[in-house]
Amino acid sequence: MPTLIISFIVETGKKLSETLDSIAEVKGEAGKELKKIAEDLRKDAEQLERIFKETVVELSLEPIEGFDVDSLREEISNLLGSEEKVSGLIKAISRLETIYTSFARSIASISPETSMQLKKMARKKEKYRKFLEALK
Amino acid sequence: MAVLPEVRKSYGRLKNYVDGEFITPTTEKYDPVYNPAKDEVIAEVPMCVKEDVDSAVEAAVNAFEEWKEVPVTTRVRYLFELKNALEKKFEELSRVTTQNHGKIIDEARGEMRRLIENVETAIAIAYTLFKGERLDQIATGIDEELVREPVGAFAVIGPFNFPALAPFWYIPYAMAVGATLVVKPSEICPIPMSEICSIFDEINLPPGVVNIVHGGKEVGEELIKHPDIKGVTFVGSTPVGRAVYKLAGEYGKRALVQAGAKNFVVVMPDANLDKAIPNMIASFYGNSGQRCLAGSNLVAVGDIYEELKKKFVEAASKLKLGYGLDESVGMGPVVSRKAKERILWFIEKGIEEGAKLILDGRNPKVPDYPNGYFVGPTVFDDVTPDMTIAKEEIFGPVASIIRFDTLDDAIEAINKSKYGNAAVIYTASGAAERKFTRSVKCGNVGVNIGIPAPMAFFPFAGMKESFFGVLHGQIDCVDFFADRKVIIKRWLG
Repeated sequence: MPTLIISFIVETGKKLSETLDSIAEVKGEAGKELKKIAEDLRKDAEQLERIFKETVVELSLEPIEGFDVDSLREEISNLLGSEEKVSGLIKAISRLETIYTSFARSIASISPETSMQLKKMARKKEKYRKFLEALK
Repeated sequence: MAVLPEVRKSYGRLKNYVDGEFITPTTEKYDPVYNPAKDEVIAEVPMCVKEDVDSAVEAAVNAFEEWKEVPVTTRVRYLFELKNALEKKFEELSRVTTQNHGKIIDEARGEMRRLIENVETAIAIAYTLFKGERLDQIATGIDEELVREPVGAFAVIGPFNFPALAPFWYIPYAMAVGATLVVKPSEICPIPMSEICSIFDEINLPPGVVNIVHGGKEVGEELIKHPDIKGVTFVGSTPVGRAVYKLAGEYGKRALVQAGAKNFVVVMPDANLDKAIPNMIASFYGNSGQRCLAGSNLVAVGDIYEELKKKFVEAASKLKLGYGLDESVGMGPVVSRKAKERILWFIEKGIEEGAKLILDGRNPKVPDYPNGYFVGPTVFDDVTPDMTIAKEEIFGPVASIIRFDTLDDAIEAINKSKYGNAAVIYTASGAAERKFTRSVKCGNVGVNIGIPAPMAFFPFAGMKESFFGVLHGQIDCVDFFADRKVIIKRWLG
């Protein structure tokens, strides 16, 4: 069900943001930029949450196939919990880019606004990933 | 998947909300309020008496005199405040609704969304529909105009199936036009409206504009009979709706009564079943079938019968039952033990009258919630239109498959039903659609849409014994709360 996927994306966005905040504390000058990214991710999650609340009826009535939320949640959680925090984060962000792009396509006919927001979030993820890779 | 946290474990003894304050009613009789997934008491609702009704009506009448004088722009600002406060408490109110009613969390969220849309629509009508009319020079030197004026204090009697939304088919519109209200929420699901009262408090809505009195049938009757109440809105079953309409008529009151249903979902041989089945499942089993727009009779026209039956039963049997706060659950319990018993009675009746039970929801196994009022998705085959299960409102997760050779036969059966709330057709044919939508005597018609629920900015329609009155709920009720005054004038010079 689309609502489950969106809940997962919102929840993951908030987790990513928390992880970035925790890395920012130990990354000196780059920390400021990491804090900005964390804040941006939080805002994106809130925006998606708002869209979700406003389109919940449509989202709950139309099914979408091909997304196993439980295994996606487990996969992202494992990546974020890995010993090497920055590498885990990069892998999680990279995986989320793919999920957002693919889900944006599937949801377009049900909620164009969700689709647009996800595409925007996927684009930003690419930028964040590149920034994090430079930190390694 | 984890179960979302409940907002509170218990809501204690509910209070009335009168004249801007939460007050303990005079009655000493309280009934338990349950969480239907757990068979657990989560609150106590006062079964109020005449004295409690009188004080609420007095507050509404007193407030009316001042509220109608408050400029429309100010009244609208309160509606904006209300919308914003509801948005902030969206998730909390959704969870409370699930906890008290049993519907799954997304259905509760959907209810909140539709509720807020009524507030938004009321804001829009204040500056548009509520405007008067004027025609210059209807005769030499004479102009004529029409103004709408709020009538006074009204009663709103709410149902259990949409305990937060249904009262909001009326509350924001009354607020917008300057009328005042006494609301009696469902005594089975009183908690959501009770929680919403704290929002009225939070936004500092002037005292007495909206009042809440809890209770049962007696409160409803006292409200209708009260000499200072100008009219009543009601949403519920047809027998009670008819009684409300009759009593209102006897006392010379306005009445807007949205009543029961028995909805036919017609599937034509050219229907796209793969796309339609999930939508049909939502129609028959969403809200555990406790919707006045829920599908009830599944009509197979021509040779689609076998495929439809197979796919529908397959999808229905996959629905996961459980506590609605678990986001992976597809269907919650029904609202009460009594409702469950009633539904089970209908299932027995279906078997007794010769229908074939092909999916039996009587004894579902729901791990972790063994005491909940669960009825699983149920499907009857070989149902004929004269059987009780095909004629009467079951208000539960029961589908009756009926076969017809032609669309004309299906339309005839729909029009013979005493109810006229909703009818749905699944087809790829424009000709079939046109014939269907033009011929069925039902107020809300769906074309490849299983739940034809009108948005706030359209009336919630209904025909035959599904509706009593002239004006409908949602945007249509603007004129219910208002009188029209025509002024013809000239200035003698």
